[in-house]
Amino acid sequence: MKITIFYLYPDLMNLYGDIGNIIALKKRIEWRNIECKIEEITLGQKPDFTKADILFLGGGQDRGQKIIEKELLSHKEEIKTLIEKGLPCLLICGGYQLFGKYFKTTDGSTINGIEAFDAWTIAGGKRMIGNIIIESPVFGRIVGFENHSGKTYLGNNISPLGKIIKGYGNNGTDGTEGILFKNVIGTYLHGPFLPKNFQITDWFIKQAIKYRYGQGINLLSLDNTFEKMAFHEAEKRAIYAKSLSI
Amino acid sequence: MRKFFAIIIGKILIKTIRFFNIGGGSALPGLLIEKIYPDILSNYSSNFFTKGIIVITGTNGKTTTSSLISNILEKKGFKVLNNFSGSNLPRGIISSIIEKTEISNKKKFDFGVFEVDEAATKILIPQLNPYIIVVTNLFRDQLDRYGELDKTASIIFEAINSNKNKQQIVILNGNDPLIVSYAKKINAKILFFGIEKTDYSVESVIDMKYCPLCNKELTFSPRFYGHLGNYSCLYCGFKTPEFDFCADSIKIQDDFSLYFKLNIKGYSKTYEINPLLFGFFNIFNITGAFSVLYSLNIEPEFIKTTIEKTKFVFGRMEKFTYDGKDILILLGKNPVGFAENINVVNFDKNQKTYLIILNDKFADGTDISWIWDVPFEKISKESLIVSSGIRASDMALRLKYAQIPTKNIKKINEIPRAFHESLNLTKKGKTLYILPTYSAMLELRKYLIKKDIIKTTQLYKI
Ligand SMILES: [Zn+2]
Repeated sequence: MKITIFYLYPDLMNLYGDIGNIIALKKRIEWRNIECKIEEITLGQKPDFTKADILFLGGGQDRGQKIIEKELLSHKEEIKTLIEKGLPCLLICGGYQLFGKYFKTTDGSTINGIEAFDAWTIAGGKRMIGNIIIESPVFGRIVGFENHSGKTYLGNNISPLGKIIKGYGNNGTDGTEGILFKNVIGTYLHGPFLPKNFQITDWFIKQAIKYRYGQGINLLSLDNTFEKMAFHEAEKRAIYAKSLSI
Repeated sequence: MRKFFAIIIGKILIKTIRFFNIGGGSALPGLLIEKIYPDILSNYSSNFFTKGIIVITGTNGKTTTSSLISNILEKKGFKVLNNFSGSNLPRGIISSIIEKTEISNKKKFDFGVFEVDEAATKILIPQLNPYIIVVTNLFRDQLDRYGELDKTASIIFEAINSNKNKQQIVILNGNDPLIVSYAKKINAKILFFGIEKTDYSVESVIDMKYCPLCNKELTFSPRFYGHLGNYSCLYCGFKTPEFDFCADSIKIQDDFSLYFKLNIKGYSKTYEINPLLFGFFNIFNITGAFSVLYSLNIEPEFIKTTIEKTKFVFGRMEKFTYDGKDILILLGKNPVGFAENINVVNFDKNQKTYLIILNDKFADGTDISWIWDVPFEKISKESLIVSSGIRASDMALRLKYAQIPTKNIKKINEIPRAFHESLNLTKKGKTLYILPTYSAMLELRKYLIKKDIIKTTQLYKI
């Protein structure tokens, strides 16, 4: 058995330790004695997305987003079709914004997204920064660190990843954070997102196997003492530390 | 009159705060004076420093570069005011000026040497109107404060263009493509310093791989440290500029000590430097300081010999012996700094003991996600590691995913206890490597001083 992760534009879209998500996936796949291949997709490549079992796109500066906009749009239909078929995708921050409909940046220009789901983003004046806790009906408590000025709004038929317990989330006003659509998770959570929320890492691994091999699997259970310790430390920190808005 | 009040109040506040030993006594008085008398800095910059002000900004190396400059100017007999005991934000600089000022305003200094926080350049440069501005490098650092690297760069260079000093000299790290891309937009004399050729290069996280002018991929030959290197863009021709001050023939010995040659443009003689400071990054700091001092007409021979006598700047890299063991503290403020520290430690081929301390206070950056950008995978698997600080568990988790066996990782949040535990794990005659973040380093030092393990005289900065 083998799982292939397409890591999109790692040299442009890798802010705030987002690579930790790749490390977490890779290790937890390998610790189950499953082979894991990381395919780094850079500009100008002609990737065959049907080879991907998991797609990952991290956060980036506005500049990075502008550079990959055109390239990503050229793969729009292919990626959308695969998402409909159940391709697991993890999209963080800027990556989340680019898979929505559009992102209106601070300088007034619009970066077009691939419209994989019904959400759009508008640059805000203030950065929303701090430790964050959300509650998800599917995954339970999730912790992370958010740092964004973009405000994302969800269409009527799209469900958020969870509701805010502490922090700002999608837009700082409607109490929602991220999206969960098919096997796609879009979120503003860095931290990075997966290492401390290991149940979601395992969910991605299971969905990837189901997507590729057409059947479910019981994953070998692992010792999660360190993961739980870090989760609780982050949760405690989120409750006691102040969030910033500058 | 307002000025008079501001100074009196400031002086009383500083004394009171020192007396009661509340929090270092640097920020609060400055903050108040800023409110009472906002023009205080521009007033002083023109009347107080007879030979001018030097401002050092950038992500890494500010403290080391500015303390080298200060030290050497003082050794040369100049009167220098710096902000080592204060913060590098406007209020800290105001405090250090107020503390040293007489109300009559008669006491003067030759030079003001100030390290200035990147975002604070916006406020401080138009007020201080410095003669020399140094930009050391721009890395991702405490991004939760500044947002983005591009934004930080534009803040600094807009500030430089708002300098009212017509003589200003701008000294830039030529190995940093982002910094160099702004050089054309500056209306001032520009000097570049940097490293020419070296066999030494690091595989570490890279902040910027794309040409800042045309966004195509840059070619590095080689890349030394983060995105610092010798670069060229095959598409638009953007490349490393010709250096005015350049280091080459670099050697790093097994005991970490450095050797390199320093060349000055249009000057046939080269200077061999054997500094007491170690770590590759100090080549940038030394070359940067050299550029400033040379521009102030200090003789190169004097700069060389004084640099070779200058010891560590506290906490950045500090070595001492205790309980029959060597202890090396290597401060890491961002992924690139941490990565470099891991490389330094790896010069030691023995089994190693580490104390890694991760805090997430404001001074450290409240977001600790960056630890996943650091190649902890390079730490050898049989190492013994104590993970400490407010976010000790996050660090322990990072190490687990870097394939360090969990039985070799101990989590102890309290720093003093973690220090003694890691010391116990270190064999006699061997070295304990301590890798703290900024506030963790301060906390550890405070404890070590209290226990008489190190002496306060080593302290440069509170
Ligand atoms: Zn170019």
